[in-house]
Amino acid sequence: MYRISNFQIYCLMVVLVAPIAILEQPKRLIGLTHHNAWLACLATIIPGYLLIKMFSYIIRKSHNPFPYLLEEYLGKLGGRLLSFVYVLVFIFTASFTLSIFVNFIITNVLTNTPISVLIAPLLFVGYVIIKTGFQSFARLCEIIVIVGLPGTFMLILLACFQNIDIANLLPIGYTDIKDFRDAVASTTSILGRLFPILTIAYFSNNPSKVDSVLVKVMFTYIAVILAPSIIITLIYGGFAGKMLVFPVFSLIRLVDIGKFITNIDILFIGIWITGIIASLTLFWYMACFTSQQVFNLKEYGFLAAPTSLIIGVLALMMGPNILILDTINRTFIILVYLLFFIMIPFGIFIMALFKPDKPIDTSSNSIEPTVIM
Amino acid sequence: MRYLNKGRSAVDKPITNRELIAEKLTTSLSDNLDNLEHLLANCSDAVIKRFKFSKSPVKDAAILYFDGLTDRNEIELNILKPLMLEMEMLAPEYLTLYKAEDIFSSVKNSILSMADVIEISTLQEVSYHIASGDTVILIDGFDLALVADTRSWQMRSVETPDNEVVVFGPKEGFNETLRINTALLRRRIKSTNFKIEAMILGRVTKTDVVLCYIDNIAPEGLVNEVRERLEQIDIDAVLDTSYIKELIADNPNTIFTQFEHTEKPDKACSHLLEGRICIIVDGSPMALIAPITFPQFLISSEDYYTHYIPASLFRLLRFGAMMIALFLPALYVAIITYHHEMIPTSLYLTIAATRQSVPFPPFIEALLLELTFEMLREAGLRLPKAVGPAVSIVGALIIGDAAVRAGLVSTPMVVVVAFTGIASFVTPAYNAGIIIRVSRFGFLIAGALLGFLGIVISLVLFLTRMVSLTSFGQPYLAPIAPLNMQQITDVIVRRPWEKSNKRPYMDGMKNQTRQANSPPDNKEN
Repeated sequence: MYRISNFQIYCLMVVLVAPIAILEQPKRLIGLTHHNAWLACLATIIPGYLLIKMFSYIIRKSHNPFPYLLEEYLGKLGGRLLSFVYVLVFIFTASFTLSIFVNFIITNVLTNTPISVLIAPLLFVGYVIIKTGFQSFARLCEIIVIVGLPGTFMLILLACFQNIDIANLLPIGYTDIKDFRDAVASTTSILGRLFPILTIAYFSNNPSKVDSVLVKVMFTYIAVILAPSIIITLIYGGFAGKMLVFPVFSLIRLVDIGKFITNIDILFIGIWITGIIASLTLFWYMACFTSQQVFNLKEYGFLAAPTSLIIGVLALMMGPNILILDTINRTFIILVYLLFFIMIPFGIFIMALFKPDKPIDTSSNSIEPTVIM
Repeated sequence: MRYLNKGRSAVDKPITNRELIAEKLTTSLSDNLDNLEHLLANCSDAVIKRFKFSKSPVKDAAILYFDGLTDRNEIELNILKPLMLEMEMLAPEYLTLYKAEDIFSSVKNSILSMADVIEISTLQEVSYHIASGDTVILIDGFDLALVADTRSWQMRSVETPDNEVVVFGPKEGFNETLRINTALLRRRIKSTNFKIEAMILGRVTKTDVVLCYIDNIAPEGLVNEVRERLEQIDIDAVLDTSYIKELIADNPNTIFTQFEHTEKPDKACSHLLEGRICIIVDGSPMALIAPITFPQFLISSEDYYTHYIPASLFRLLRFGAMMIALFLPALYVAIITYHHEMIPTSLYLTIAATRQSVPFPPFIEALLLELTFEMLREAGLRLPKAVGPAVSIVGALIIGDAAVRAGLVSTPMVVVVAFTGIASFVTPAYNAGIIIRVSRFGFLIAGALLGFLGIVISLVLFLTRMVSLTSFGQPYLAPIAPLNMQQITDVIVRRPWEKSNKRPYMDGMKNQTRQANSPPDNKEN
């Protein structure tokens, strides 16, 4: 079985949480907590840390990776049934990621372009990546993160040179506790997307360090949301900021270099698209991989084609109606994340608490998943 | 017919050359010569000279060689003269004196004043050696033959390679003669650990191929793997290293070459010292280096002959030029077609004004110009040296100017294509240049179809293909993906020698120590 480095795991996890969050989360935070959005970001560190500790504990105590660990805790039948539900959840998450992307592109980049024209190439790319194997995908994510993360920060920080008003961050304490709680909960729920770590950690060449990798991912995620949230508030103020459809996008549009290079938002979009492709592909991969394990298939590569159709159709169903997408985004998706990526793992975590420690050598009794690498 | 009458029954099937060549030499000189005459029928350059030597008893003998591949002076002075004029040395009393078992061993050990004389026993070996420029000596009564190294033919001298021009550093280049090429390497690496394994490839051509590596540096697994793949080659001809390249590559069906070609012995040596292997084929001035990663194509050997600061800047410039060569036409078409807002209004208005009379959409305009540029480049390469530059100048200046004046293309597009062309020449490795040239068209089409989105999607596909490739197990995009922080500093910029204590990491490398201030446990002997 091929092992991937912890840096590759870091990159895979960053592309899972960052691309969607950077576009959606600052708007959601500013909408709920106005000028205190940055405080809500910082407050996410506490539940976020607990969440990743929960994932780490499950990994440490379980003999097998997800989805086998469900059978380990819930029995064969219960585990299999829940694994199948997870296949649907992964497909839904991949479709949602795709439709968010399509919605953004047809609103801001290629207006009047048929949605199918946008969906088809993305699915094709995802299909190619899955067929190429997980090892190549991990390497691809490395490049995306190495180039994308500093690039994104640079673009966002360039906006600092615009007219900013430090007073927009004040007064610090004035906020509705309920809104603040919702903001923290919604930001934490995105961290639930780290759920695939329950599978991916199994491939690490240094499993003992996965815990610290997750901490780094969390701080990267916080930084990715915190920077635009602060700068949007500094420039637009808490109340004007929430009126923007894609505040980060508007923020980067403000950037000009020497009054000559303007509208560099296209660079941000370029980076963002690569992140979205990686994010979509990882959930898609998880759907195929989980299906392989649930149905005892020899390999998962051939599942890429049929699942692409399901993901594409589902994205088309969500995509054309912005109201449906917005409703899914504000309510349903958070519930899905909370239930499947946080609550169910929490249940497993509770069961793991009462489980004896994993023996040091588990090679003889653990199940080795079949993976195309 | 002569062969059949003498050797076999007339009712037997005529023996084929393939069957004949597999046979061993016999003790009868005339039978051996008949067989060889049969094999060498219609070979006008083959020379067979019969002669007699020794006194008691008088022996019949013959020499065989191909005219033009041998040094006739050497044959006359070191083979014929000693045998025919100094034959008294072969009298029985002298045989006793030299403690030789027979005339054959006496000729081999005492008479032939050649540095390299070997014994062979089959017709196959005879045909191989005479085709390689050696002279074969057959003596009646012995089922063995002697081979004397008399190789000498017209060859190109060691010249400066045309494709890898450098300002600083050695100017010598490989030529088409294998032994000269190996000597150029051996002269630079004066170590007994530097191994040159020889093999013969090509059923018809019987081409000499050597596998070079430094025994106490190169990973054993890599050397074994390369040797194994070379031994598995079963092809009629190997006329150049490129034949081998496709046959032993990890992924042959891709434009991304997994080998580096070089004509420069100093560059080959630097790769050998980093644990790689080098394959040289007789008749080819190009050495193949493996394993190789894509970022290494952007490294010039000259980087190591200049100070590390300018070398690093040049390297960054090359990375930038590669990006321009890959993406500029695609970005230009995408911006003009879909993303006007990206550029300042005044600039866009200027571009729009120049495009007013152009009948083609930007994509067709770019495609036509790019294809024209590629044609000019190919024409410049293939035409005689005296005419080539003139065609390039006529093409670039006159046709370009005429096309703009006629309103067929816009001036900014000419600038973009010309700039792209210049940028693509910055890449030091010609192979990488081909990858960039071909990929550029893919990005151009994607940019025209979906604008920036198309470019990004095609870039992801491009990267996906690259990260999935390996060169003898080495990831093709290493040390970028998988990331190796230690090595990446010596790829993007040139690390100072003072800091280059270790060789670039490779799985199974036997010795990573490059200079004295490394940990003592790993020092080279």
